Amino acid sequence: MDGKTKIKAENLNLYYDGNKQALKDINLDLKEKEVTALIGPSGCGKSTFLKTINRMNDLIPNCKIEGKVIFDEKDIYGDNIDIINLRKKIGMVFQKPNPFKMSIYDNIAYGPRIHGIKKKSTLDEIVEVSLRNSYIWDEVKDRLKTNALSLSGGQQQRLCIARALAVDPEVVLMDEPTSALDPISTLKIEDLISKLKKDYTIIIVTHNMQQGARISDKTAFFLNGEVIEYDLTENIFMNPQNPKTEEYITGRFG
Amino acid sequence: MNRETFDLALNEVNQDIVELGSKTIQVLEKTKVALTNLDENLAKQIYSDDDYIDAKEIEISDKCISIIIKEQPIARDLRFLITALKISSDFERICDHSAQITKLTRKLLKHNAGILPDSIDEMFTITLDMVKRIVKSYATNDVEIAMGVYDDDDQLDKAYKSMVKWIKGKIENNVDKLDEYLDYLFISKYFERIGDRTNSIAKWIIYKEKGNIRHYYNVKD
Amino acid sequence: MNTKIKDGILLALVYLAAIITIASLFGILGYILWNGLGALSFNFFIDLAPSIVTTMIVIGVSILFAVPVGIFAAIYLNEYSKNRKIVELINFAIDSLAGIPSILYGLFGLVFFVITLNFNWSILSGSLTLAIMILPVIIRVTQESLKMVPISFREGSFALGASKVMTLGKIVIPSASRGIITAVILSIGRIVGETAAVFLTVGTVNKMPSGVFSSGRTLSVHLYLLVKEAIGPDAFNEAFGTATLLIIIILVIVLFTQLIFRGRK
Ligand SMILES: Nc1ncnc2c1ncn2[C@@H]1O[C@H](COP(=O)(O)OP(=O)(O)OP(=O)(O)O)[C@@H](O)[C@H]1O
Ligand SMILES: [Mg+2]
Repeated sequence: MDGKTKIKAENLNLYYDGNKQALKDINLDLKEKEVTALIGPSGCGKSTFLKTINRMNDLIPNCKIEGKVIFDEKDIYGDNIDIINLRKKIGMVFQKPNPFKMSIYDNIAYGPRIHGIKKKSTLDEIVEVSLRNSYIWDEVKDRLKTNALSLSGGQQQRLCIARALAVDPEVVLMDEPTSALDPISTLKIEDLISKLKKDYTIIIVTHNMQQGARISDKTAFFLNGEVIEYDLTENIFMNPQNPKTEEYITGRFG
Repeated sequence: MNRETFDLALNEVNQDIVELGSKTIQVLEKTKVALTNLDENLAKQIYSDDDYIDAKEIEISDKCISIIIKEQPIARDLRFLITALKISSDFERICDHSAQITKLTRKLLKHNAGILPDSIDEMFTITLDMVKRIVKSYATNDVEIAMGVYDDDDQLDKAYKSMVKWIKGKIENNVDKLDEYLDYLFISKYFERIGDRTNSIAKWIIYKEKGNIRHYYNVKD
Repeated sequence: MNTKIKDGILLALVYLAAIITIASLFGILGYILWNGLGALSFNFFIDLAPSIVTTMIVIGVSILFAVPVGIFAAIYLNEYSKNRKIVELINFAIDSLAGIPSILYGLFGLVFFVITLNFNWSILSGSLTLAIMILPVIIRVTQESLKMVPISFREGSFALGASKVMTLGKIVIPSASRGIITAVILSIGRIVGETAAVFLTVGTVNKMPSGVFSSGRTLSVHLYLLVKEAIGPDAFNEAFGTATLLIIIILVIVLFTQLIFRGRK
């Protein structure tokens, strides 16, 4: 497992409502410019783990975190962490496409604007580049002023990816980004992820084994808040070492 | 995904492979008897068994492909199916080789009605033993046996080499019997090939159980 | 068969309810306009000018006080306050306030603004009283529309690094604007229609106001006085004319408010 470490969880524990433990002693070393898939049964803590990486858990009352999450050699739960900057560097794409109720252009420009970019020509460029990188430019270039909610589900999700890319992140977190989409849109997003991987570190939660196998370099299997196995995707899918992983991925779980 | 249907389908393939294996053993045994007893009927049976086995191999391939399409298996399931595809073709080839051996030996025996050299008999014994053990290894998921079979291939190679030496010596003194000795050479070559196939089956059984072929290979080579 | 009959009866009832609602609405509207349109004339406008202006100023000032306070209160309750118990207590208070008869607000305004603060009978006293009166509606409706804004919008904004204030200002409140407009329109309706509270705080002087400290007479109060005291032979005609004017003013304000907010989006 070579490559530079981008994100590292160290003895990470997370409790909801004060005592309900959702993550148990997680130790994961995620490498730069790799796609890591998080798999595991419903409720095992994948989304929770994902949200600890950009501190979205801060929004949840009574959520207690122990241990460290190191991002670029700094503990994001340590002192002097600028959360706004952290979230700028670690983008997130959600399970359900969630474009804002505004034009396509404004959706993409929203992030850059809140980070202080005002110049029209700069914004224009960011919007175009982000949409191009998300392979949706050709589909929307003639209607940038229309409401983003008029797009199809698959287009909305690519728009959301473009929106995340617009603030120039280094890491993109994706929580089941294709679970609400049809097969064609899903393939488009998978293609997109494979292309994004040369510039970004991507962590993706997926319930679709085939998808995990197709797009990820490494896979972490979560069970009851623990990481049971973390290895090259090929190994996980051809020859998992832990019988629980095998049971889960071959659908003989429980 | 309905695992019950899936497991039933996998089970069926498993049984097919075991059947193919036992059939292969039978063919080899028949070959031996046919040759020692010069049994015409038995020889004919071997040819028809070969046809049956060809058909069986195709049937197994079809089943495997259909399962792969429907269930998109991974991990152990996928390894099982890949192994099934590989070794069913190996068994099929072993039977082909048996048929070819039968054909050549019948020709030989018809022409000179002589007795087969002992070394051929020895190769036969080794081969039959390997095939029997490999079928058992598959049926019982026993990697140890497969590893043993894999190692035994050396023995067969040795027998083949000494056979070649023997034939060379014979040819020098009996050039007029060149055809006969060439046939001996081919027969032993076929045994050697059966050994290779058995070897390949052993490899895939190890892969199926251990998830890694190279691992074992690297140690060997 | 049985269900079919049941369905039929239910459908009939639904239609009946709809017809009663629409018929009474248009009946009243039609009756007023039928009787009132005739009374409208240039002179009539001139005569009513003080009341029209007073009404407009009262609406403007009340909204000016109530809307920002109401929206901020709703935002606080919905987005900031952490203590569930306190929020429930405040919500209970708000709901109780909404149920109080307007005459009590009038009395409060009279005692507090007119007498204690010595604002006298004035547009300011009345507007403040009305502002307090419509506050519950604005808070409640705004709260509901804030709740309707999907969490996913907020998450999307936070995930891009937006602060809470930015998320509220740029995403949440604009998405809730439709509800907030509704709250404003409802409030305007209540202000225009209010008589008792206005009567006790703005007064009844029928003259052109010169500022928020002037006393005055709103259209509703005027209408009330016309009908109650039946001053002069044409009092009823005049009353219908005034009512027609009220309706027109409300329609104009509703359309106008909607235009403003729609333009903003
Ligand atoms: N805000 C919350 N408050 C309390 N408990 C929560 C909260 N969010 C999640 N949990 C609990 O934490 C556990 C992990 O949830 P999480 O959402 O991380 O699972 P998941 O692996 O993403 O599941 P899924 O595949 O269904 O999305 C679950 O038991 C869940 O009920
Ligand atoms: Mg989840």
